[in-house]
Formats: sequence, structure tokens, C-alpha cells
Amino acid sequence: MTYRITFAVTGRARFLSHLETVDTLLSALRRAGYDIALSQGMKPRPVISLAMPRAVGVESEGDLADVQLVADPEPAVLAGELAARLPEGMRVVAVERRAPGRRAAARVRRVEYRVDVADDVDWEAALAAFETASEAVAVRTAPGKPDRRVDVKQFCHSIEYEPGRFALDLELTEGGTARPEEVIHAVAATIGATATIERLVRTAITLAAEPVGVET
Amino acid sequence: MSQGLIERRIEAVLETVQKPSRYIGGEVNQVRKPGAQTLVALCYPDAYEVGISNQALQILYKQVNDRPHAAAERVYCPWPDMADAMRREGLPLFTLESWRPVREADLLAITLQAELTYSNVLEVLDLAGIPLRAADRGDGDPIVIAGGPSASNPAPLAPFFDAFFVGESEGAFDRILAAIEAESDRSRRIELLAADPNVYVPAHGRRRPVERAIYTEFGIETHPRSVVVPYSSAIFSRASVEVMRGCTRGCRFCHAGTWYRPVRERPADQVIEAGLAQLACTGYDELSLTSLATSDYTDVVPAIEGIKRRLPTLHLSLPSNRVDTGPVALTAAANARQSSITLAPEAATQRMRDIICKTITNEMIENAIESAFKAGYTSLKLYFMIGLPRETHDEVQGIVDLGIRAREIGRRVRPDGRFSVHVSASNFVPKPHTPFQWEGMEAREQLAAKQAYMRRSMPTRQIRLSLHDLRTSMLEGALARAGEETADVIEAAWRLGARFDAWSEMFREDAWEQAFAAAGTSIDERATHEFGEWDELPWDHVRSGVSKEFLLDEWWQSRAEVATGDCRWDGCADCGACFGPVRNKLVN
Repeated sequence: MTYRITFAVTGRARFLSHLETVDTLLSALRRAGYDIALSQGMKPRPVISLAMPRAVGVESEGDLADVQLVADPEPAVLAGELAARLPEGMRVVAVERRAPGRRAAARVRRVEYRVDVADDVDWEAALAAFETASEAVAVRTAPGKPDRRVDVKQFCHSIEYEPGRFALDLELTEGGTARPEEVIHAVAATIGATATIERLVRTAITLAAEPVGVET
Repeated sequence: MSQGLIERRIEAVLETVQKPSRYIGGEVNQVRKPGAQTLVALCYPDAYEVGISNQALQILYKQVNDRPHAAAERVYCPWPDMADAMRREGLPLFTLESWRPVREADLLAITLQAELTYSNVLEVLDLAGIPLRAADRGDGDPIVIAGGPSASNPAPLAPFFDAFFVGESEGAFDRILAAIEAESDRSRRIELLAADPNVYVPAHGRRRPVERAIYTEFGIETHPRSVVVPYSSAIFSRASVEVMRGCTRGCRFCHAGTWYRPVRERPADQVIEAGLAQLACTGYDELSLTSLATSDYTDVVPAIEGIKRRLPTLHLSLPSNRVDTGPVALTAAANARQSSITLAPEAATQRMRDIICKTITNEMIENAIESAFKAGYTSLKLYFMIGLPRETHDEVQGIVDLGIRAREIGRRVRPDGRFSVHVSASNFVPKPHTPFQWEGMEAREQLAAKQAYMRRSMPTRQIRLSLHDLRTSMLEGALARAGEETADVIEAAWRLGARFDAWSEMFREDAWEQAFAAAGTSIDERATHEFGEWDELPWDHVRSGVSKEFLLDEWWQSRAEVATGDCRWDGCADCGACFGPVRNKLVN
């Protein structure tokens, strides 16, 4: 049976890498006594898939993992047993049964972030300038590759600001997406300022609707 | 700096370094005892992923935390990017459990598992803000104690430690902990340690021999069930049960073969119980039955069968197997998923195997290779050493020939050609407390010529040859049998930038060369130095239990090319390790 686990990674656990996060979930499930289904083939692997990798250092409140277990526990039971075995900083938000369908990773449409910023920028003015600008360019650099200019504004579904804090809702399209820090730096840059990001939390991942229903 | 401010600044630094999970702690089964009166910092002076896999520190972690008033907290050597950032920010080295400065510990216990971590010992002390030299420490500093197998020659690190604990920690290290708990005065603590038979305090000189602590309750006391589960970056992510300690095969190059005598075995029912318990509390999907030679363990079959009966699909690994058909079949039975197997003939000719006391024959090796391929293994690794005493061209040619022979066997057994042979040859480094302790290492030029010959002569089709880095081997040789005069060299090399010497990308041979040159010598001169049999050796005051006379006799036997039997089956060879309750304890 496949389960979707919604989980949070906060505090120092944000420094875990994507692979470490996956392994931590798997070992917590094993400690709870669940056998994880293995893939077919020469080198069977546990069947688990996270909707979206989390960058090291970014906290999350609603990450999604689809995992296939050999057993068929009640979601509430599984949630309780898993919650008791996760390390500090990792927390179960919800567990639900899933009918077989496309992997969550293939259906991510929007990602929401909460970004705490230092107050050394006139953010109201910067956001107003950002909203009227025709584009907001971030330059991506990678070793051995030419710099890439990306208009991050095209990926912004919404940006809300309250003192010291942004709420970003970013789209994931076939053309790519924007990183939240790129957006914040681009907003500051519209008035010639430099942003200081104090905390970055991925608050939600929104998936495209799936024709196959959800069993609960 | 307040604790809160330190933590905020550490978090800020972690945003900027590679693999920050190395420093965060909080792993499953970590123990936190905030109210404990005595803080013991346990340090493995290498990266987290290496240190967290060390079984000895897991045992010690439990041993300390089992005491009601003591807390064990772990510390590893920060990777250079982190170390540099900490220095830049003025941050002290901190423990993983509480992020408290290591300098606040009552006892800093550093395990010495390998010579190539010596520069990291100084890196750890410096980052912790603890004076490098014991003589410069004062009341605010922790007692810095060393342990582990490389403490068998304390000389090259002697000025940097307040004390060396010699031997196995279970039981005996409780006395050290009790001394630290009983006294708060630094000099009084050191006095108490100096009175312990298993402790060497360099500041007190070599007034008396120091005995190796030997744990006699190995088969009675249970193995730690609850071990810290590392994040996935660890080199070994698996549960493990030490099924047997010690080995009396008597391989003359092997430090562990002397240092952990006599043989003590754990009964199969305990192994099964401990293994299952550890799997349950760690969530690992692999269990390793560890020892110096697991196929020699009397209860190996009942242990495997018992575990497999309960967990049929478990990935069970048996490292360090003898070259024989029995172990190959055992390993195959234990782990159907594994496609590769390692056999360690160590030397390719009968003459050399007699010199090093590796009592196996060519026929046994070839049968083992055939059994491995028949059992379905597609990757066969053969492990050898070069530069062994009195090695001739024939021995090196023998390694090439055996690689080719293994390929021939593979082609016969697996006509589909789906197999590979991996020949690995390391450079022999003579170690203290072994029959070869008087030998010098072979000259670098000779070793280089042998490596070049093997590269030229070994066919490349279906055979992969890997040879160890000569530079690090020579340094290991220069440090392994070094005296106290080498302490200045180690400090100078560290000041010139040496750290993480076991990591080829970090190795700074120039720093070491410069440091040895400043002391009027060289890496090669020290590594190739031969001791005379009447010479006083830097580690003579450390008593392993195996007598120097026995080692000397074994050295002469090696010159006569005569192997010595294993006392488990061939009668006592009078090595000196057994006395009173200390003796071979096999399960049957």
C-alpha cells in the first residue's frame, strides 16, 4: 500500500540533505516495524519518492513523500508510530493512503515559501517597484558554464509582504521556476538595495489534480 | 560568548559549509544528559562520516552514559571549510549533543585509530582552544586522554596528551571515569590516572610499564543494542555485532593480531539477540558480524542460520574472511544480494606466506576463487601487500600471475564473461608490537618500481589493478614507529597546513617534508629505519601482553621462512598473552 506522508523539517534538521532526509524517513519506518516495498530489477531499492528536493538549509512545513509499504496500516496508526521515531526537527503533519498514480514529483505545480528578511531595505517601495517592472532578472552562475539570465518575475504567482516577512507562491512550469532567494534579491534590487535573508521556510507544495482518487 | 549566541553563530556558519549535517547532532539514539556533573567529550579525529562508524566509540559512548552522573558527547574533526570558518568567526569546537564548547568538558578522550589522523589531533585541540602541549594546560582545561590501537606507541604524541589509556575500555575505563568524577583538581586527577596500571602519563616519564587492559567478560556482557544512527553520509550505515575479539592466526605484519589477543568469542544466541535488537532500534537493513576474521568464529554457522531464520531477506555481511572455500560459501549464504567478494591472500607465493605466517596454500586460494565465481559473485577482489620483508621479484610477479589465474578461473566458471577481478596491493608498513616491528619499510624507489612493474605487467582486460598512494604509506611508516622526537615534527607539519592526511585530496606531503627536514631528517629516513634487536624501542614500556621474546622469536622464524601454528588448534606457542582469567575463550 502506498502512503503519502506530509512532514515538516525544521530547526537544525534543515541542514540534512535530500538523501539524508529520505534515509531518515526510511529508517524511522523500519524502526516502527514496517517493511518497505522494494523495486524490481537487479538492484532493488525501497519504493519512496519525495515531491521535491529540499535545498540544504531550507526549512519546510509541508513536504510530501510517497512510500510503498508491504503492510497496510491505518494512516493514523502509521502517523503516530512514525512521529515517535523521527529525529529532532522532523515531524509528521499528515498521512493518507494513496491509490496508485503518477508520482507526486511529476505533478508539482506551485511551491509556497515564507521568507524572513532584515529590515534594512524599504521593502514596501521595493515590492511596489517590482510589481510594476516588466521583468526582474536573476543571474545564475555555474562552474564551467556561461551565466544564465532568468526573469524570475514570470514564476511569481503571488507575493505578499508584512513587516519583516514575505509569503511567496512560485510556479513550477516546463520552463523552470525561481528560487525564493532569487525573488527576494530581485525585489530588493529594483530599488538598488541588497537583501539579507534571515530565515527561509517552504510552507506548502501544491500538486496538479490527479484523475485517480485519494483513499482516506 | 553566551551559549545562545554561540549556537546562532554556529547555525550561520553551517549555512556556508559542505555537508553541514556533520555538525548538527540530534541523530536517533543520541543521548543527552543536560544535568550530568561530569562531561566526557569523545573524539574521533576525522570527519563525522568516518568517526560515527567506529564501534569502539559506540561502546565507550554507552559506557560513559550508563554512569548516572556522567554524560558522553561526541566530537569529530571539522572539515577544513568548517574549521576555517570557525577560526574566522572565533567559534570554539563544540560537541554534537549540546553544542557546548569542548573545552568545557572534564575529560576529552581522543581515539587514535590510525597514524594519519595525528595532525587532526592537533587540529581538534587548537579549534577547542586547548593548549596543544599538556605542559601548557591549566585548571580550565579538560584532561586530554588518548586511547585506541595507535596508543600502543604513545611516543610521537606524548607531549600533546595528559594521559594514554592502553587497551580495551570495557571495565577498565570505568576507573578513569571514576577518577575524573572523584576529583575536580586537575593535578590530582592526573595523579589518580598515573596510578592506574593501564594508564601512561607522559609528564611522569616511563617509570613503570603500562599494561594493556584486556576485557575478560567479552562473551558474558552483552553488546550495545542502542547505537547512534548516523545520517546517511556515514561510511558504514549498518548494524554490527562484534562476534569475536582477538585473532591468534599470527600473521606477522598484523598489529591487531597481537594487540587484541587472546581470542574471545560471543555465543551465537547473544549475537542473534544483540543483532536483532540493534536492527530494531536503528532501522538498518543490513547487519554485519564483525571481528578480525569472522569465518574463524566457532558459532558462525548457527549465528547466520539463527538470524536468517528470523529475517530471511536481511542483508548480512561477514567482513574479514579467510581465504578458504568454507568462508566463501558462508558469505554467499549470508547475503544473496551481494555481487562482490574480497579475498585476502596478502602474498602470492608460498615462500612469502611462510615469511608472514599466512598459513594458506595456492590450492586453497584457487579453490576459494573458483567457489566465489560458482557461488554467483561477479566481482572478485584480491588483496595483497608489497614491500614485505625479504620480498623478491618472484613475489611481485606472483601477484600478477595470481590475478591472471583468477581471470582464467573466472572464464572457465563463467563462460559468459560477466565477471571482473580487482587486484589491490597496499604497501607494507611495519607496526609496533608485531614481529616485524624491527624491520624498516622498503625504500620508496623500490616500492615505486614494483608498482610500475605491476602496472606494466598486469593485463587490463577484466582485471583492475589498484595500488596504494606511496606518499601516505611512507608517512604512515614514519609515524607508526616514531619516538617522542617526532612530536615536534607533527606539530610543525600541522602548523604548515597538514590535516586530514588520510584523504588524498587533502594530503600535504610538502608540509610533512618540510617539517621532517627542519628536524634534520626525512619521511623516508624515518620510515625505512631498522631497529636492532637490542635497541630500546619507543614503545617498550607499553606491555601488550605478548612478550618481546615471542615477537623476536617470530621475527627469526620469519627469516627462516617457517610459519607458526594457531594456538586455538595447534597448541600454545607461548606468546605470553594468557594469564589467569585472560585466555582464549571459544564458545565451545
